[in-house]
Amino acid sequence: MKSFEELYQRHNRRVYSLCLRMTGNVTEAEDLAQEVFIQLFRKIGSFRGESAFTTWLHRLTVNQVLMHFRKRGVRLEQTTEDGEAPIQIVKGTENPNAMPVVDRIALDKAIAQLPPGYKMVFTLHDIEGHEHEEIARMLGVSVGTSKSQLHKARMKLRGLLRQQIKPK
Amino acid sequence: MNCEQYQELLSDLVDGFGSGEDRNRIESHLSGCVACAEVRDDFVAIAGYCHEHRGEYDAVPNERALWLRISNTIEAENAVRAKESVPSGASSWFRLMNRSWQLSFGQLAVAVAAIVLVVSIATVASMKQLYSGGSNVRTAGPTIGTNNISLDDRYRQQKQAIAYWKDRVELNKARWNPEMRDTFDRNMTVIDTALNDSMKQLTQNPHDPVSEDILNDALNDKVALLKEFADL
Repeated sequence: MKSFEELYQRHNRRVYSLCLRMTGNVTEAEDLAQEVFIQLFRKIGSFRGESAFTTWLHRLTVNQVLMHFRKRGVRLEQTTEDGEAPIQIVKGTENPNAMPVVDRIALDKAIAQLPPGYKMVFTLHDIEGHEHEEIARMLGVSVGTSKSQLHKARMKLRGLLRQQIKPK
Repeated sequence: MNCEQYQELLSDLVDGFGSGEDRNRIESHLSGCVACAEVRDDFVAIAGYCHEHRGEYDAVPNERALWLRISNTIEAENAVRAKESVPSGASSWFRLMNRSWQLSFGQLAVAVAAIVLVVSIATVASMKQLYSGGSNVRTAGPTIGTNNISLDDRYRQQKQAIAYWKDRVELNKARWNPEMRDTFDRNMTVIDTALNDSMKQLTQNPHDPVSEDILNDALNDKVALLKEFADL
């Protein structure tokens, strides 16, 4: 148990952060991180060292979050949150100011507002640095879907970040 | 192509994908379209920020509490598993030996002190018994003299004692359970290894005092072990 505690100390932030970014909810992220470490304890014997431990743990975490979404009946391929039309920038109607400096708090807040499917792809691609092929494999979608979700996520984020600095 | 279609290609452009032809076409559109150029700049800012801050992680609100929740769940699961693995008719000895023990430092220190105390008392008692000529020996049997006898005599006496107690052990051995037989065999193997090693040393150096001592101790241990198991 002592060595497992060391593993926890070393990786809990990574696991929790991934859960937090993918769910956007502190309580859910904590519960998921707990479940990930329990699964890790059960499955650590099956780790064969074919990939780096962090990669293996990362996959375990993503799978746990995906299972959580499936249990909750969240569709990962939904186009937009409430069936809203995809965001379009019509020439001349957008904020003429340049993009404000992106900061952590603003970005986290905006990511939390993304629909689950967008959030998942954006987190895996832009934050965690996975390629579209890997994301497609993990989520069981096509590479095209992954790219399209990422584009829509960025568009949505752009809008949310601009809204945050809009003077009231 | 309209602006919406160009914007759909922007993510690929920002991520460094797309053919050279596509890139040229988008770049030429961006040079004349402020709206699309702003989208591109925003994408670069978002992706760039994420890239720069990759590997920065949020702290769990209460790391210790989360660990306690995890370890409690795991320990509870382990306890259930251990309970399930104990056969219904298992003896209390089996249950005791299959428990997982977790002692605090204090408990461990007390246990070690108790063992040391018991061993010391047992050693003193056996020394007294030995030096009093073995008059209070629980079970009759050949005794080994300790004072003023030659090495050869002592060796001969030890051999006699071993032969005697070995016969007694052989008589009772069939009644032993497998755990007891394993314990006996394991201990005997260790003693025999020490015996053989010291004999080998004495063959090479006939009067080596260290090897003589080891041989003497091993023979005494063997007698003690046989004696202990003879009545079981």
